[in-house]
Amino acid sequence: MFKIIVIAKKEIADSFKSLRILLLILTLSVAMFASVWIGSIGFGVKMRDYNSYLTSLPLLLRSQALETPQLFPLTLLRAGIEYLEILGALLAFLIAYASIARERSNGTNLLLLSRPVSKLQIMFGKLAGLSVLWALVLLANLVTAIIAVISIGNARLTSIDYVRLIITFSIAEIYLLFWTSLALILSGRLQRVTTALFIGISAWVTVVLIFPQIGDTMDPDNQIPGGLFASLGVTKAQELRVLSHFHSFDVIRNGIEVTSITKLFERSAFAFLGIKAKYNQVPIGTVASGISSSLLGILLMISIILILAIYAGHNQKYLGRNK
Amino acid sequence: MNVFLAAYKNELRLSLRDRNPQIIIFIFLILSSLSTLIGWLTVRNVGRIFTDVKALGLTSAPNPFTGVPSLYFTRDNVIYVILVGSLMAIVLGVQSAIRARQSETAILIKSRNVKAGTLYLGQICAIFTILMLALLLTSTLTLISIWMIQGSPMNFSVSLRYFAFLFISWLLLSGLAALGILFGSWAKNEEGAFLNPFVCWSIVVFIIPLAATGVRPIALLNPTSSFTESSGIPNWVHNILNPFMLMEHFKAIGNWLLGLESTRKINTLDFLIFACSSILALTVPYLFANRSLGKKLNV
Repeated sequence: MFKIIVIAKKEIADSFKSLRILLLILTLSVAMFASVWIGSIGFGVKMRDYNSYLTSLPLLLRSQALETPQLFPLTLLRAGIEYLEILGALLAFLIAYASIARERSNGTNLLLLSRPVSKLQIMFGKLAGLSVLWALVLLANLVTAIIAVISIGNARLTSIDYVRLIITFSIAEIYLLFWTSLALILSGRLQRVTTALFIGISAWVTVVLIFPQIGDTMDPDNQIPGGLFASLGVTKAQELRVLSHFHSFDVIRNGIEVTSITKLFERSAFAFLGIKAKYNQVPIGTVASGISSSLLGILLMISIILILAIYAGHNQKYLGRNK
Repeated sequence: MNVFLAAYKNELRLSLRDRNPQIIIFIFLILSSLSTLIGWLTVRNVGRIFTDVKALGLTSAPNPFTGVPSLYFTRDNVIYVILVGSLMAIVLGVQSAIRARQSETAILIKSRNVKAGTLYLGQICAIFTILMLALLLTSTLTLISIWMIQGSPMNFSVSLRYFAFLFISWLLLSGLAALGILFGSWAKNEEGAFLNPFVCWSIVVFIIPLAATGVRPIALLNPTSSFTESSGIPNWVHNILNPFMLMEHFKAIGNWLLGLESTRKINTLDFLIFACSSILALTVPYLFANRSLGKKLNV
């Protein structure tokens, strides 16, 4: 255990010394902050319009005015979550890949292996170090997001909102751990580190972008801007009645989506943050039970990747010479 | 033998033999071919849903999906060119430059009467050929799929539009491959050679459109363009970042050529920015060819 901690500490120290890694993390943080900022400005404009509409009304009519626009501050994080889904996954993979590639290109892997430390300990040391790094990055982003929502969006967060944020960012940590583990397996196990990069990038494109995109393309409600059923004036109950006749198509569409850990993370995050209207202002327990299959899916995928990591770490060829 | 031809043949042979680009070319071909099938299945399903809605007396409007244009089924091709095609082109370019640097043949080449620019042209033209072959193979599969779906081949004008879309896709991918060569020629090591263009690509595709238009990052996956009307500071930011939104310009031109619905009308600025970027991407590596030839790896 001590050896794993030593390697983890070294990994964290190396990451903070690397200008490239710091720049990548900064890019993600700036993108997330900008997305919340843009969202908050949009809300601010809505509020200003409403207030000017209210002041234009005679005093007696104000009580009959349209309702104040509802602000659910956590929904402002939607684009930020999407950045975590897309860029977070890419950066988690690239940073972990670079960590192993650097060792194998410089030959320090051979020096490390000449010491009384197993390959599995090296792998889990790196995994632990990168997990701490991502936890710190997510914490920084969480604080930044809260500040942006409060200061720019003029919103007030309740204690339950903070719990929702912590749950969401914990799921994000697991999600990023998945991509980190994948990079550690591929870049340590394959003969050439660049082959690991190709396979990893291809996996990222497929899982993060293509599968969700195919699912969205196949979604009947996505075929018309504003939604097919809404444009036809069909109620939710009528929509469900019609869709029940197309169950098998929906099973295939959903099946494609749930093979992507990105989609599972998105569903969970959107539910806990109330971005998905169905779960907005719903108690956390009810949300968790509503999306239990997505949460289980994430746990299953992270378990599989960790088992594969143990298997790869036991392999003789792991961390071998780069060809 | 002619230097250009020798470099062309050598690059063609080595690139086609390399397993790494093959993986991404394979993914591109599979996805582009499947997109037509997925598009058709979805339209068929939505058509049936609409019939059900009508039968229940919930609407009297005509089915908007009856008689959709043939190229409607290929709308996801635009996205796959941006997502997978771009990566394929970058990988081909970087791999080509890295391979040349790893083999350390530059010393031998420099001892002969060979111009670095001619060598580069032979190298890049071979990659252009591979990209063209990949796109032609995709188009053949797409045309056959549409023929099978419709029961008749596409008419001449529609086919022409599709081939025009293929041409601009080829132009985009060629520019990216040339930039891949530039990154591959100048990077200190192999890892950096691949990492840097990927990071630049993700910034151009995901971050700049958000900063310029305020769209969500996932908007990229939507076949329609993300341009929005704005004023004041957002408009000012939009104008500055507009030339860098290459993929959005490509999407707008691609949708226009395929005759798909777009959130806005196409304008000459899209063509101008796209053409200038392509020319720039293709010429910069040529201008630097002499200086980058023989640059050692891991130094």
